[in-house]
Amino acid sequence: MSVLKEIGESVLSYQPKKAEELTRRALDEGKSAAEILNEGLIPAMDTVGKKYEGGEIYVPEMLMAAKSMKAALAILRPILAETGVESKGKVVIGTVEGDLHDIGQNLVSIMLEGAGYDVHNLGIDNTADAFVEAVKETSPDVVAMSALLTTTMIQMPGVIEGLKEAGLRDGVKIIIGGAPVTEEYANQIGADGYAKDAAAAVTLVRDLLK
Amino acid sequence: MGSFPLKDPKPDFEALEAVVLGRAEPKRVHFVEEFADVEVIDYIVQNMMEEDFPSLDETWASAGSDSHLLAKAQKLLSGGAFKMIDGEPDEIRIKRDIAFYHRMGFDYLPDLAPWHMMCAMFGTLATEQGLASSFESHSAPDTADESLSRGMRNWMEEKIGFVSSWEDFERIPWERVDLDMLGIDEYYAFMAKHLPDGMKVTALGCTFGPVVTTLGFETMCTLLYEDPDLVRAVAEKWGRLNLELYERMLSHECVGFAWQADDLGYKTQTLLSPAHLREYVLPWFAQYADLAHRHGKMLWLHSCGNIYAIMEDLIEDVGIDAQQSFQDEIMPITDFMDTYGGRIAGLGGVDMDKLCRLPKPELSAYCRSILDHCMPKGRYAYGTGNSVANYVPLDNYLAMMDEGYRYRG
Repeated sequence: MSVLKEIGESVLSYQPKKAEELTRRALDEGKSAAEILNEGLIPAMDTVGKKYEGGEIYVPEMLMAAKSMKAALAILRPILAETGVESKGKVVIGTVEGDLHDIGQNLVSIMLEGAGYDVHNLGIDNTADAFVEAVKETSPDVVAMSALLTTTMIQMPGVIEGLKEAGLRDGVKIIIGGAPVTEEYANQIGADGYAKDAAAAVTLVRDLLK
Repeated sequence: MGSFPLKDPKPDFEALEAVVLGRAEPKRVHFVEEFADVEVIDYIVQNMMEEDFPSLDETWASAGSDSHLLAKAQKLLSGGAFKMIDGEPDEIRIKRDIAFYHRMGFDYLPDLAPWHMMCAMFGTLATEQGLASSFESHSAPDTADESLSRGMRNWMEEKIGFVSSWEDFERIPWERVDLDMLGIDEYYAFMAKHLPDGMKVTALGCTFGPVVTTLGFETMCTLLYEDPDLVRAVAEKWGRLNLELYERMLSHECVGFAWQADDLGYKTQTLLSPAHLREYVLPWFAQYADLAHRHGKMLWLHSCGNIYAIMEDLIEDVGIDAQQSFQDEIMPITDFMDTYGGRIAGLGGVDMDKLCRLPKPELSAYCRSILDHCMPKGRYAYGTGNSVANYVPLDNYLAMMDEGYRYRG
């Protein structure tokens, strides 16, 4: 088995230390950071996403796969930055104001990173202004919002409105998710898409940025 | 003019039990909730009922609060004279709760106090050892209407808990969570004296929730692969404590049934794989169901989320009698009744998002559609899809209740 396949296997078998060791070995063997990312880690995380979407694995398995991927990425990131490898796109993500539940958005962040996107995670409890500022600072391709409660998801239209007022709405795709959020609600508030879970969010971002 | 609070409620726990167990067709709509938030109880009791309870003041406000519970736990653990019902504030709380649920048409009193007290003992002991989760630090302004707001809402810490290593686990003096100290007999003697004829009280338990709080959800997920024995040890501690609590509660005549309240799922899946749940959680549930049934009592489950990957386990292996908590995005109560309705009872099902956001006429039509579908099937009782949270607009809650009260099939 090639070292790149072994790296993928270490992610799929939830072994962070092995992923780290194999990544170092691959670099020693002359593989580029971009090769390791594109041929080892991204296909593995793609498989993780499909398994999760298909109900074959659950949140703990996804978190362990992500931990393995991150162990490898920690080694690759400085090299990738140095060699100027471009990401597939930039995503700003956060929960809306008053919402302090972040497992869902963290899983989305992990899966997007694993798929090769540059993710700016704003964390929890972000006002519309915080989203607008983050868009000004990072110029993302996508803004992703999450909410747990029916009474916090109503902050989402305010963020879209804030981006419109700042003249930034047309430059970004807006996607939403979270327990009470639906496709219908996304359409109602003028978002560009809705994803029911982390794997679906990756597919949605891919489709929107085609 | 709405129907609630009822002028002449006629609680009949035996009739509710017969409906839930499928032994009788419902003669009327029975109402079910895991609980109503204290702000909702306060508002209705203070503004819509004639009972002469002392007005809401600092003493009363603190009686149901976390700080009051922790103060009581500290008193208990320091060897001070401890009573579950510690003077007037606690007595008033119970009497008000009873008045609320009675007048809102319930056949039982939802009661979380013994379980809360057990958890407060644990929290106090863990904190004394320098172990702390950051639950209190996660708060944001409450989104409830001003009249029902609690000011700030606390959110659960999801990453870390009290225990992340064997060293942490061993620092907790688990043996000091001594349930004999709770004075459960005295507590239920008071309950029995004050419950109206026809009403019982619930025995609430929770196992997976405290395991998650103890370890932190993300830490637990990692430990399942890196140190599964630690997860097993924590699950064993809480599983057994909960069993011992049920043993003390279910033997009392005034206790109607066991209510296991553990959220096992989220929007698209169970929180852990079915295999992990079968290993760490469900065997405990089976023991609780067996215990309840040996007492001739039911075991209801409250679990949010998509738990259908383990529903057969819950029905066949655990032996739950009823499931409560439904979200239309996952499986509407109507679909649940079509799929599982003949085998266990479905309880509640008025979707929280619809309850919060629909205009009243649409909400009433939606509630009616649930009743039309579910009532003829039997083994159904009516209520929210989760609980009467303080962020539910009060008018909508009362409209939902009115629809149930008016239903005649």
